[in-house]
Amino acid sequence: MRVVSLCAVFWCVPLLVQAQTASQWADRAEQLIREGNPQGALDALAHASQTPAASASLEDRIGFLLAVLHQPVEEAVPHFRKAIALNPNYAAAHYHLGAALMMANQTDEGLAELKKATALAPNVFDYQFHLARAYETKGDLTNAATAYAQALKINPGSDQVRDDYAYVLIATRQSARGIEESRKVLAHNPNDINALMNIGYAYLETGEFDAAEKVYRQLLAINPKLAAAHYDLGLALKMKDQLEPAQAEFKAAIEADPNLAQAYYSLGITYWQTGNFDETIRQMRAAISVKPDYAEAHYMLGIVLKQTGDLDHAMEELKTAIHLDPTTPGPYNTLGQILRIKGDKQGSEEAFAMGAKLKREADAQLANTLEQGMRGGEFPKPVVLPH
Amino acid sequence: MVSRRRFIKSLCAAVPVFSIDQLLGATPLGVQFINVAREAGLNKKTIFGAEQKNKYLLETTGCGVAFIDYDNDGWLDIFFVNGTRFETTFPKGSEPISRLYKNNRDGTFTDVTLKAGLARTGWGQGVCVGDYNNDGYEDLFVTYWGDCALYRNNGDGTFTDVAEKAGVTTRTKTGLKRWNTGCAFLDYDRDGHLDLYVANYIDFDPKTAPLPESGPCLYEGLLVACGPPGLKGGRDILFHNNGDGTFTDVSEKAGIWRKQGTYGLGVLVGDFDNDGWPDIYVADDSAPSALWKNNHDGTFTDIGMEAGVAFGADGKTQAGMGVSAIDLYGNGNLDIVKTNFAGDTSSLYKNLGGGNFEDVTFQSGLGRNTRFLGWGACFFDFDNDGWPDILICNGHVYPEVRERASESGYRERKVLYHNLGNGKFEDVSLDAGPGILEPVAGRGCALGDFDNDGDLDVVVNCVNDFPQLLRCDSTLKNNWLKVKTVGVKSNRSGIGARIYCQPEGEHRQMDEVRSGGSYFSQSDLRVHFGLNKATKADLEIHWPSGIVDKIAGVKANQVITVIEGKGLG
Repeated sequence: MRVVSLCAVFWCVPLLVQAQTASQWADRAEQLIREGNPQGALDALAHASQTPAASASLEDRIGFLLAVLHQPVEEAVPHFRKAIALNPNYAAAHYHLGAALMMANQTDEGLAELKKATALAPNVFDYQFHLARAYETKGDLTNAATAYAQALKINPGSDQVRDDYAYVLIATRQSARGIEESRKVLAHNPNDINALMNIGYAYLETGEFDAAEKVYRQLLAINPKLAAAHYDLGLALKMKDQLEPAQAEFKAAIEADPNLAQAYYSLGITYWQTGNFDETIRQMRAAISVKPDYAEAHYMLGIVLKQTGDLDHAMEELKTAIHLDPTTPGPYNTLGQILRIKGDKQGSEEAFAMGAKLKREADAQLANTLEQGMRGGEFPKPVVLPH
Repeated sequence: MVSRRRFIKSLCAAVPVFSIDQLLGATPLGVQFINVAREAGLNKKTIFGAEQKNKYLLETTGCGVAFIDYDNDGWLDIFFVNGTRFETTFPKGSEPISRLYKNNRDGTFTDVTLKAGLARTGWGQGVCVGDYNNDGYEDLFVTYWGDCALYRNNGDGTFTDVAEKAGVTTRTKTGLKRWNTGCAFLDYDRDGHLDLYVANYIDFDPKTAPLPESGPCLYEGLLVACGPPGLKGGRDILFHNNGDGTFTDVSEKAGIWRKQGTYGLGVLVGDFDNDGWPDIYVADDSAPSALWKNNHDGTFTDIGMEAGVAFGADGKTQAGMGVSAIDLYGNGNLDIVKTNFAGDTSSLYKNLGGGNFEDVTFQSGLGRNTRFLGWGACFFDFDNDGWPDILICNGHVYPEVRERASESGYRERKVLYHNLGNGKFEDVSLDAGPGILEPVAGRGCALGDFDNDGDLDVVVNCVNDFPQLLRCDSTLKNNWLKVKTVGVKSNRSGIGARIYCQPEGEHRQMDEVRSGGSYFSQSDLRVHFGLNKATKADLEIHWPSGIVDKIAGVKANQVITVIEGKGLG
């Protein structure tokens, strides 16, 4: 999982002394920030805000400083909006407003503002970079890749952006290009963790599990406590049906990060594969304790409880799974089987019917995608066949 | 310290050096599977779609194979279904054709295809065997993308395609070619005439089918043939044998069309609820598999979901391919094994009786292998210890995947599971000989004792490759018995007859005479029992007519013929 941070937007400010006009109050606030006096800075900004601002740049700056002081972004937003009202073509204000809105989880408007910023000033590295991250946050990886590529054109030396770019390339099933970008990073920084993680991820995506294993072992030689690397190595080994070594890696991942719910889940799956249902149950419960809304873990727990004959608890877990993710047919089908065993014919039929309906809907969606493809239309997403 | 040379010398003194028995005895299993296809004369490649990159799913599914004793000489012959290619024009006379190989009774075969009148080119799929006209000679039904063939065995070494006259071409009124897949003869109404079930996969038309790029359809980042999800599924067909050489399509009347678009592949017939009537299990791809319960009135009801054989253990639909059935636990119920896609396990369904199954894949030890993509599936007692083992034939769907070190490439080895007799299986593939380990793009596989030495051999049809004939070489010296059934009131092949075998001092076994099964394939119609150390067994044959023949004290290590109502022939 990736956390897209926008903290770097509000960073480093110049130094000023006097404080009479709004601009001077802003200068004063900036100086106090640098002197480590946030309360004084806030007071100065309060003065600045009360003094009618004359320009978009000043409003933008006040908002900026408020954000730097880690005030709720909602306090900074009106200043950015006012700046834009004063000068709709002020790119920095659009950029700051977009970033602030993204931080406030108002992603649609945030993305729109970042797009305006890059439209007004396409050659500013930060704008492109944050636009890319905003796209990524929204799950629009294709446009994220385009924006990352644009950022890299402006600043080809940014490893961080290249790592991000590689990641979205791999996530959009352009693994070869993703690997190529990651290798560019490794060429001058052979121990770049993100680049190596990206390459491992690419190999997992393309089913090159031997190559993935090699990369993750290289990563673990650099940092033996890297939970993500242990986890992904476990996945690579699991895909090769090397279940016991996979279990060892999942356990190492849990040791390195006891909150990694997926590691408990995957460990449980390997126990399930070997018929060790008690241990499967234990791991699924651990995954749920870390992440109570983990639908797949509730679903899996329901299955294994059914297999051990604990039908009532199995039903509870399956119902929770359905509540958390009502779009997956599997829990309905398993629930249908349990209800049948318990003699609830009608309930069983209803559950099976629901499972079948969801399956039909998914198939229809696929059919629609394929039809669109045949007509040469826009594809919502590729038809990805089961691994 | 004993030198290596002295150590070897000491071995030489104790045992014969150049004995094949010693070589085999040194293996943990005592059984080796050796591919003898080339030296046996099975030297024609099966052609099926492009070799590097496929445009359509039709190019991926491959063909079945049949063991059939077409000339009734007691030696199994082999019929390979063949395919073809798009965008390739083969020189006249060099088109890929299905092949019939006659067993020369010395470990070799002769290609008799042309003489037998079986040369046909096209997108061949599955094959099943049965004496549909009760004349004493086994006939062949071959499915195609397009018109199917019913090859009537003329009894003189030749066959005639009578599909048109018999009404089983499956041709549609609209002109759309059906994609017929797995098939099986069965006598669903127990009238003594073999009916026919034909599974259908996709309503495929290359003019309208999506291309890999148009999806785009991706597998592990590779552009591959689209489907089956998202494509229109076909409709399975049930033909009723009218007893006069013709058939009637009764699919709708029988209720088969209540379930449509399920991407049917492997077909398996058995009396799964022990009511004396044959039911039909169809392995569906990317859809819930169907268990058609025979309602005894010419109709069927799909009880797959309720019975617990429609999904995997996790309640998810699977990519069902091949299927096999046997009484695995000696409790008189037919259990099912089904092969699935890569990333999934094969499924083992334990029959609890009363039409209920439990998925015991993980408890039984079949959950450890997910990297292979399974097609042909057979229960068979390879070591004749009385406990049925499992063979899974593998190979990836997409040639784009190519080879990998991790065994999950295009060509894959087989998996052989040894039944430990306690409900658990052990993967013994690595000890089972080069025939099991040689990676191939396997599809259909069938069982039969082609050399009549008492152990079961395996024939495999591979995509764009030579076939495999895996001779089972065993040093275990366990006993066996094979039963050939001749129906009188029942259909002449005895298909559907249930045979109970009680070896002296061992547990009771049960199997049925079965047409079709595995993946698009036909195993020997003779039913094989491993007797372990028992030297004789009591047999009980329950014929589809209701007649029961009981034969006591049958000596081990022979093929016996049982004639309905008369006992040993």
